[in-house]
Order: sequence, then structure tokens, then C-alpha cells
Amino acid sequence: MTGLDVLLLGMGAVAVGSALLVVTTAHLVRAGLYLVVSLGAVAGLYLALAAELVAWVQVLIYVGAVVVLLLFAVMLTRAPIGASDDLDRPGWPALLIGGGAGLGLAALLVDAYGWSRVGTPSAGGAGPLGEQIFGAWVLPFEVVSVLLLAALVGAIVTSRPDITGGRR
Amino acid sequence: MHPVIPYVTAALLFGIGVYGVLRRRNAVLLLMAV
Repeated sequence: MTGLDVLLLGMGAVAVGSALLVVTTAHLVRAGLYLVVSLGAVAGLYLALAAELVAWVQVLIYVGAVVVLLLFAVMLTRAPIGASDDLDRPGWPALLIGGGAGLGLAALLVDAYGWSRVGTPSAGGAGPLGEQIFGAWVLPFEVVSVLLLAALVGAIVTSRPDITGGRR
Repeated sequence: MHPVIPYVTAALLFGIGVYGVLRRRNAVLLLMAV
């Protein structure tokens, strides 16, 4: 257990804990602020893993741009500012699927890697990152962009009862 | 370093995101979970 491992564990705990608060809090604005904490901890994880460019891109784009965009969306729409109890659907199916996916993947990775050790990774600047993304990982990169498009369409459909025919 | 620590963190964050997407009804919160 090196200092780097302790750092990774600490920041991982902060990221997971604040992410839990994002999906459980009843305040819309607080969810956005917890998201800042979670994304900042993930940026710290990237920095500890020597991926400097990814860390600063995370801070600039996610913490800077995306969260500000979300807070503007909250301000400019008729979103509830205080605590509200109509933000959620019934919880059990989501808990089952989300918990199953997260814990299942975690168990799979623990089983695959165990407590094995690797050397500290070399620093990742723009050059190695571009080679990796547009070389070995170009297909997952494109799949992620399709996922974001699907999320956008899904968010519009679930939030507009006039599209779904009021079947909620 | 042990690579399992960041991997497990990523898996747990993915699970929390799935939970949030399925649980939330509000569009802004849905996109936050994504």
C-alpha cells in the first residue's frame, strides 16, 4: 500500500460518496454542487494517475462548462429550487439494476486484477492520448458519442409528457 | 500501485449513474446522472 494507493482510495471514496448524494438528494441545485465535488475528485484521480491533460480537460469542460450549463438550465427553467419530492420514480428496479451493474462490474474487476501491482504510469500528455483514442480505442470513443446522443433524446422524451402521450 | 482501486471506483460510479438514470424523473437530474 503506497502513498499513491492511499490517495487513489481517498479520492475514489470522495467521488463515489458525492455521486451517491447527486442521485439521492431532493434539492436540484445541491445535486449540481455535489456533481462538482464528484467530478473534481475524478479529476484528482486522473492527476494521481499521471494523466495531466485528461485531468485539466475534466476540470475545464466538466466542472467548468457542463455544471455551469446545468445550473443555468435550473435557473432559466421553472425547475424547483427548494427540496421537492416529485423528482424520483419508484426506487427498487433502479436500485436492483444500478447496484447489480456496479457491484457486478466491481466484482468482475476484482476477480480479474486481484491485488496485483503495476508500475506507476508514465505521464500522459496530448500526444500519447491522441494516439490511444484514435488508434486502439476509436470504436469505444464513437460508441460513447452515440450514448450521449441517446441520453439527450431520452431526456427529452422522458421529460415531455406531451410526447409520451401522458402515460406516466 | 494497484490498478484495481481506480477500476473499482469506475465500476461503482457507473453503477451509481445507471441507478440515477433509472430513478430520476427530472430531465436535468437525468442528464447529471449520465
